Amino acid sequence: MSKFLRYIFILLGISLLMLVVLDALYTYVYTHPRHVRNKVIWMKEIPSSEKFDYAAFGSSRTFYNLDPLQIEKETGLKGVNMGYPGANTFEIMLMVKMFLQKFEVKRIFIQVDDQYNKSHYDRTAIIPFMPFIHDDIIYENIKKVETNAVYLKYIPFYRYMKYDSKLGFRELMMTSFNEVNQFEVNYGYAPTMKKNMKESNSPYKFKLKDVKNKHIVELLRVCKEEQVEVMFYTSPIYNPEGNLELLNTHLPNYKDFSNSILAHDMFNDPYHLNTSGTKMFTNLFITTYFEN
Amino acid sequence: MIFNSLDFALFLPLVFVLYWFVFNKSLQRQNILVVIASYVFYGWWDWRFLSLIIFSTLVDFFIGKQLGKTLSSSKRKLLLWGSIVVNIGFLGFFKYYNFFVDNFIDAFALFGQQISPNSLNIILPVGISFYTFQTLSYTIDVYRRRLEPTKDIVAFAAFVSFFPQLVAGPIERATHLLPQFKHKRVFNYTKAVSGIQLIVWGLFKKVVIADNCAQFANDIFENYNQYSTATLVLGAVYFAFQIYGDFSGYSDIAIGTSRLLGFDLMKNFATPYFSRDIAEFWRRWHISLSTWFRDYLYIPLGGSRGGTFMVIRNVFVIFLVSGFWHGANWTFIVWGFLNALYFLPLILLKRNRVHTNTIAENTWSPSFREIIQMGTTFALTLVAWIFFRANSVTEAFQYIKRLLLFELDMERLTIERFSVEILPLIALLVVIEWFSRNKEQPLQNVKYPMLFCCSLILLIFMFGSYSQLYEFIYFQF
Repeated sequence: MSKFLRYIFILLGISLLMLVVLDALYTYVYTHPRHVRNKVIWMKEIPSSEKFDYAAFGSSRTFYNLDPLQIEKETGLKGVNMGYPGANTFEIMLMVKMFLQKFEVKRIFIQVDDQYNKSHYDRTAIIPFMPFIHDDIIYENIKKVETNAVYLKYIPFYRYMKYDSKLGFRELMMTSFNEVNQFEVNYGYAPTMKKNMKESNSPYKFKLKDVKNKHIVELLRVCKEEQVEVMFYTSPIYNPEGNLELLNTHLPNYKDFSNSILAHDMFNDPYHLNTSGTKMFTNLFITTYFEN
Repeated sequence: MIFNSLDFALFLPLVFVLYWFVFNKSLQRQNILVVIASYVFYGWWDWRFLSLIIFSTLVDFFIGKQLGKTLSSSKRKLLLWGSIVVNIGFLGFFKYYNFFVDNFIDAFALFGQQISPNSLNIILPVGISFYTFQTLSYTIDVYRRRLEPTKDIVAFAAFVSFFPQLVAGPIERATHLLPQFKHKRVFNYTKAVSGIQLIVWGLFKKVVIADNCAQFANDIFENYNQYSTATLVLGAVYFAFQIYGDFSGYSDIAIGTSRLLGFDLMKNFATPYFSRDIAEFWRRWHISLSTWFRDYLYIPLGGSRGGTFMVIRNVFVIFLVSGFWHGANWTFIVWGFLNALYFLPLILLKRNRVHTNTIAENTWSPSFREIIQMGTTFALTLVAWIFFRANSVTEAFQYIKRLLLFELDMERLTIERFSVEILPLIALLVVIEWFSRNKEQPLQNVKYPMLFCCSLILLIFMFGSYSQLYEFIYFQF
């Protein structure tokens, strides 16, 4: 039996060592990329001396649908697109908090749509925050929505395993080999949606519940404290069928653009504009918010 | 409680320590611990259904005792049927009640009659098909006088509820497992280490292969009408490896866990995807169920005795019952029927026992002929798996119809949130299994077992799927 216990302890010891090494390796690669791979690390890399007139936050529907370079060219206003795929209101709130901690900005835009009712974070979109879980602002906020937050912080590698360690592995590889990310040179916008969607009659259906979102409430509180103006908007959707008007009752300065673009060839898919659609929507965005 | 959970990671060491260090003074105490641990393990899922296991245990224990005392063959037959009615009655009620009611309604609707008997909101008790068959094997063997009825109710309760194999097998025979509860278990280092190795190998198959394949397979099967031929073929392949990794992984962990406690369970899978025909496949896939049906249904029906027609009839009965055992859905019945059809040419040509040895037994590579045979058998099983996985028979046919359009877009390989890492991992599994096809388990007799074991653990950490906890597929059966 003692020989077996020794075997088990060696196996457990090696396993623990592997977890520690993997955790250190993944964290190092995430935090020291050759080229930034996500918006969280990108935000950390931008020097705090950088000045912005506005910042836009949201999901892939901000990431792919709003071009700050075009806005700068036409209005002279310098802004940044902090949207990224999968982000729910929790991740958006956390991004806003981290952004305001580092930069001064007078106005921010928050894209909301059918993710408004989601109160937990997205299991993929949270991954970029995981290397920084020891940062107070990230840990304290994650703790509010995740009962296992303490394990994420203290069990080596658990933070990467829980939210799909394969993604971490892919990041590891991509960080070593990949070229410059397009959003790095476009103020956060990724001009990669180039497909023209086929015409379709089937609507994009959703139904919002009439409840307050605690992360939006928190976001409004922080912005009020920092005296930052917040504008909420919904990005275009192809053939939407829902109750977005409900957001008017919960969000100040809300503007619904969901029906603003109708042509199918402006979309990559029902939820994302292609590059032509983005150009059109960014123009509409400029007219609505920056021309007065 | 499921094997790939933190709960089990704490439960198993605790049971191990209590079993070998606290309750090791007597056999009876160890058996009591096994019963308690097994009930905790099962009750973790839903304690209310423990009553079913306890009831089944008591019924079969007392029927077994009566069978031992009774000489009258009519009384013995009555007792046997009593056990069958109780056990199959529970199984029928919990698993098939709604199926029969729904089909009854549909049948009447065909003739324009609208009836509305009540469907019940019945929860299917986890593992009921497994422990029911296990207890039945006891009663039948006692009835056939192949086994002396036990007088030790604790040992019998431990046999029925033995937690490593309680909810998804291997379905043990009373003749094999029950005697092990009656002899003192002595700790054996080699056996325990092989148990750990099997647990690690089983976890690799479950969390790395099965759960990753599940993400792809689920997505493809749920949205099959959007995908082209190449993706639909991939979907079927992913499901084939999902179900294999899931079920054989569970069996390996079950066998490994039992070894830690000094027990031997029967082998349930023997590299089935290397089979050269469908008969060989069924000798290597879910062995404990196939042999159960062989011993308690096929042979009593006449087996291979009698003419060709009789054999064909028996094979169809076995596969249809096996399909129905898997679930109360026509998809499983069609799956069983399809497998019986595959058997047909082998029976007619009397070639169903040609491949009884291991493929490429004395060489490292298969011959061209063997590759073709393996590929054909695998393709046949893929078609059958489509029925097994689809939500309905209609969906399965539509899936196959789309598959036959021969479009070659590989769109599922390029979607952002899904990755291709799983394909090399499946290839790794196939290679490891190929080189260990003659062994009891892949880590047996390797040059550096600790290095091999640690490499598997590393892969489990790096590529395991933990974001969604997938239950083992066979729990639902």
